Amino acid sequence: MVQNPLTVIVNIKPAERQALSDVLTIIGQDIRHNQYLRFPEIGSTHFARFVMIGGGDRSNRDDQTRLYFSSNHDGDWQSYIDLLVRQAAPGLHEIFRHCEGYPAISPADSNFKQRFRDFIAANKKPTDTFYSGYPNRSVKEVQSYIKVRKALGDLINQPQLEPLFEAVSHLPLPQPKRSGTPVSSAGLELLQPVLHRLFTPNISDQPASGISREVDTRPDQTDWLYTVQNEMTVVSAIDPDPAALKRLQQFLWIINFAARWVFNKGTLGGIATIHFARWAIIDNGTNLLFESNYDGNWEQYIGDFVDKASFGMDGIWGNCKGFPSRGCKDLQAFKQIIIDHQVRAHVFYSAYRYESIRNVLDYIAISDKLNQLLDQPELADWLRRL
Amino acid sequence: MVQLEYNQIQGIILSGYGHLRFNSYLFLQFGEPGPVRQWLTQLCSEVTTAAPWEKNPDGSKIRPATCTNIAFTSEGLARLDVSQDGFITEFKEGIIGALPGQDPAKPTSRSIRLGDTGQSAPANWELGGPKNEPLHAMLMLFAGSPDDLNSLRERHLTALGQAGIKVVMVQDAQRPEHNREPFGFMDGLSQPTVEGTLIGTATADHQPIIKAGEFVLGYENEYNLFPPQPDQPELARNGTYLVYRKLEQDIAAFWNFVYQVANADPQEAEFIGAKMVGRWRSGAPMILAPDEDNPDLGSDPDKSNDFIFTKDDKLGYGCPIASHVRRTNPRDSLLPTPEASLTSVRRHRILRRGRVYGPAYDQDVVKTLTEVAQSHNSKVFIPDTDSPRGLAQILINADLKRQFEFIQQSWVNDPKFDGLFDDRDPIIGNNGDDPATSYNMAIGRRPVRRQLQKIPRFVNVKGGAYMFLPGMAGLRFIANRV
Repeated sequence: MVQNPLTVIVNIKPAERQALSDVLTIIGQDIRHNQYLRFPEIGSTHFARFVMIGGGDRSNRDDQTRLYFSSNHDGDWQSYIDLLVRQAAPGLHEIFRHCEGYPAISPADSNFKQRFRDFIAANKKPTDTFYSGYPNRSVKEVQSYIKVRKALGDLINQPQLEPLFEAVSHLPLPQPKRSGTPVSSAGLELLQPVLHRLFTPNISDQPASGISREVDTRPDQTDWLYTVQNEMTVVSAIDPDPAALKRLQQFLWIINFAARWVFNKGTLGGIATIHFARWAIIDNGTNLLFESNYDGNWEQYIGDFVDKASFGMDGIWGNCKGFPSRGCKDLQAFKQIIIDHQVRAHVFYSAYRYESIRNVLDYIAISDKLNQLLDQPELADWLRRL
Repeated sequence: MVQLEYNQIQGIILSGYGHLRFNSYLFLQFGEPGPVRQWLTQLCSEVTTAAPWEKNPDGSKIRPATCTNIAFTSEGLARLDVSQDGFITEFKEGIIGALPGQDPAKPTSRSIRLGDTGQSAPANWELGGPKNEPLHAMLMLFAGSPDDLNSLRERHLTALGQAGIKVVMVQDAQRPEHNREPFGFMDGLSQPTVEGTLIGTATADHQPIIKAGEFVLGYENEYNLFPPQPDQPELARNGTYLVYRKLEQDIAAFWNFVYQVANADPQEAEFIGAKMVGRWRSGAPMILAPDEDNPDLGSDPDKSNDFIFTKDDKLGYGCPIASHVRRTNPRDSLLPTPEASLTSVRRHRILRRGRVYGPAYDQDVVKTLTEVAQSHNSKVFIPDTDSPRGLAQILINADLKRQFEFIQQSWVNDPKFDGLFDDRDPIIGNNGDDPATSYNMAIGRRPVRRQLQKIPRFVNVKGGAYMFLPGMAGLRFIANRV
């Protein structure tokens, strides 16, 4: 089933920021059982978040004027909203009634679904680049893969089987097959110098140099800890030069294309820890929104950006204000600009929070192969006779 | 090639003083700043630098008979009125890193990152924890014999007393002749080769030489940048950050676990222990000696570290992905490519200057293990288990967050390391601290992996501190600050 990003950005009524923050805090603190919105009941949600964001100019870091609601879900957005309304109309009302343009409706109204959907439609933003680490796999499917792997794992742990495995482990190895050249993004790498010149004219291709500054860290922004997965939301101001916006749009188009056709093996530009990511140009071309649902910790993730995907980072954020002129390889400066523009989510939901993306890909491979095995007519016939 | 200012750099950064087997760490709390500065001024002339040792007429090196180094905590520098502008945040916050307003009963995010949880939480520490005496400095003394060490220590204790400096703890340790850590494994085999140093003639581990700025401030690091440095010019260069960790090793728990898994079969127990570490006790790496120990390989310092993972053991059938040596130095094994892995890994290396405390590992213990295990219903009898033993670990890096803390968080304690499911470092990981969650270890094998389940914690943290190890100009600056 096709996966889609939903990007909703709506202004918060200035007097009601605290009230909204209170509701979101309650949801975020007990995401599975709170009284308002329980994402596990919205069964087609892979990842979702609510973040109170500001603009890309982060001189006022406490600027929280808008609500960003994001979901990475199965199916089209209309069915997704219908499901949300069916499961959690009163909770949605409690969240969005603090936002501007929210219609004068009550969840009890017979036309609530239509009016709420219209409200979302009016505030829904296009997503320029969408990446999924496991495209076309629904939440239900991923959850069944997890169960299959768990059951098989328990099975092979049975001590009765140990002598069999032990014996097999001493069998002579079959002749290793020559592994073919892996399909790679080499083509894209060859194009990099050209793309670099086209899309990051402001960034020097000289290596970074000089004394780096200690990053002015904000522990509340980088230090919170989930068990396995983490969220990142970054809103950056796009360089006012119209050419910058143009370059950014084109570069995001290329990355979107690559995300679909090149980086579809569970890595985005060499980074193997991303479940879902997206970029959206918002606010009439003045700001860039970035969302990532990733494994591990902030330090490791940013390090991966720099070590493995500096070209992409520069191509995208090189068109934003305040980006280091030497690019993201100017490590400390890059960390600083991310920290300055990152906003922590009030609510972060994952349908399978204990699984890394590499786990999910393993589960998929295990289940797919098992399906394939069981799909052989002779085997099915044999099993039928048992 | 970079020119290091050897005579400005404290010697411990570039040398483990292998010829000085006995050492004593004195943990200090300053009194009045005046006498402390006087003491420091006198100490300066005695502090060992990295300057090359003189040579005898026959060409042999004249090794120093004793060595002395000193490092300061953030509180210690504050006590001496040294401005900490430009020092990195982790140093200023300290190894516990409590955030203002945070519940003191709960572990801080830094403690969680480092795996200092459960019994290893700072509240249970002997040194550097919230219940312990404030810590200002660490004086490191090295000598060639217990007698030499005694007289060196006594001399310093007298001087410290005269300067009104309280000695909070004395931690004696040693480098055993057999070079084994307390579990019995050969230690200190893999160290990064530092650019511009005299040690290490070639990188036997197939890894590039690591730029000096990863370990010493004021030099280019692996990003071709100078690491963040203190604003004060004297402190900006030739110093570095030092992590002290007192790591207590529960050898009874370790060998009991291993013997239980092995159904008291000594040969199998050796094999399981080696799989957990990634090396046999001799030091021979599992990747080069997958089925049985090869002591000749283990004792050959060039060959025992001459391996990369991708070519010969990508899937971890020899050296498990979850094993201690693979996690703490993944070499070329991380995604997406071996080249990218090496680039990434060299930005997260650390120099280890650990020494052993408590009774040294005794070869006879192995014999005892073997003989007694079977007759004790697979329970291992370890003589003298009541004496605490472990590593008085010293780790050196220029960026605490990107090096030490990264290794702890992303490599040692991340259960999802390199595609794993629920595996922490089986040796030093914070396994078993949370009764609700247990961690396992997958041992790669055809046709299916073997799994060690519910691994307990074998290494407990008993104390620690983040410190600044100044260069010589920095040390004189600290001493003369008025």
